[in-house]
Amino acid sequence: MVKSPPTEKRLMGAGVFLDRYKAMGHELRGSERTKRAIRVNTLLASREEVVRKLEARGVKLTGIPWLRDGLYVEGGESSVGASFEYLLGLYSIQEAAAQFPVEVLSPNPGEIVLDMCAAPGGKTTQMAAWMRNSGVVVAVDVRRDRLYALENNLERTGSENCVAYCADAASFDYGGTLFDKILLDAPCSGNYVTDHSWFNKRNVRDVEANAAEQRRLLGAALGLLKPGGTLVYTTCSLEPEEDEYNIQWLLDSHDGELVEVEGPGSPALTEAMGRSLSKEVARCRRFWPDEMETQGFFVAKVVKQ
Amino acid sequence: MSELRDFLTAMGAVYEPVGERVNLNDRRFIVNPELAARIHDRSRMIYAGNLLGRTKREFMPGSSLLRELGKMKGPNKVWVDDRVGWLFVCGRDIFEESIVRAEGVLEEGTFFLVMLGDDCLGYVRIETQDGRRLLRNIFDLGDFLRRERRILE
Repeated sequence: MVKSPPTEKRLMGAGVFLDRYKAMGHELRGSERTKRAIRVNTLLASREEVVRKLEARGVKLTGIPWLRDGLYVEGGESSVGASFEYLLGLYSIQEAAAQFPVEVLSPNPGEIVLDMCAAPGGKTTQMAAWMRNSGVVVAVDVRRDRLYALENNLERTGSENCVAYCADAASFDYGGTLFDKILLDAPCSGNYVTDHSWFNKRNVRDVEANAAEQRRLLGAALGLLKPGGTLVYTTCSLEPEEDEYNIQWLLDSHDGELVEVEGPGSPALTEAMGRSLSKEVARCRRFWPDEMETQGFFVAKVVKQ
Repeated sequence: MSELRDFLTAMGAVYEPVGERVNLNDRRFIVNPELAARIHDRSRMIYAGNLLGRTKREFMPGSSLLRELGKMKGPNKVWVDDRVGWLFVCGRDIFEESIVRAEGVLEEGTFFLVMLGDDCLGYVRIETQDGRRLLRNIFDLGDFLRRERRILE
């Protein structure tokens, strides 16, 4: 067995991360789990139809108060991952927090929207539904292996206003297109709620490396927006380097106004790991797993000047 | 797109998709003009608009084309119940005696949509096996789950 060098070991493990969260004001157990959720695909079904059909199969559902199309799966006899309704594209399985960024971006029919790190396509198909298959979603991801799932999701859900590319979203040639709205669901360190072995896989150096990549994508995203256009930046990381610090970097180095994200969760941190940040950073939202019963999540909304 | 025309003829359907046709390897897409204007780099494009189907040895319709055909009057259709429908989406063939209702003539070689109520679950070709009429599964929506499983592996 290969042993990690002593310095690396000091940077990883549940204790290291839980101590960091405690320093940010949250005593987490490290065993919090998320509730199962689905999202109604309004391109093909109404919420009432999905509830009626799944409840007839013995699935218990409750609405998620802060989501338009989200439903918690409270239990029941049938699997929501293998039903006629799933195969027919009437809903997608999508964790509650992961449904929030598109609600914040709120893409409208007719708009030209970029989904920068699109695979596996849950948010891409959600945007197509919000846009009622009108306008355009350009979906880009650099990982071909993850794009197969996106193709599958586009087909199953009847999302017909999307074009998907395998490319680096930051350097891809969009033919001079400037976008009305951009979703940057950045590749991140993830969090322990959805990955049981997360603490054994991650260390603080990974977090720093991911943060650098996220800044590269963020800078490119601002350049691809129309003046007055909206960018939603999101991660499923609880680490401030990937969240608040990156937003502070954006405020310091780019021409964008941070807009209040209204809805669930807590205001983002303005003091984190001994670093003071601008007061505006609190306009972003942070989902703590103990408060929200979701995975850890961060959402920021920026309007280009 | 003669393969699509041949498929529709065999199904007894008349359908003319509207939009620009885009081919990506063995897949056939239909794209509206607004989306077509945003296509800049076909070498990196992996999906666009509405997937009509795939052409391998024969044309295999995508799920949105099946959805459209399922809504129309004209195509050959057989209806099954929940139990047979679930066996079908698990990849199984259907025996004639499991058909609840049919529109079209069950002749060897013809294609039929398999319906559960108003929803199309896939399609079959009529064959005869050991003197029994069999509806051979050509495509069913369970393919999405099988593809997802392959992706995870």
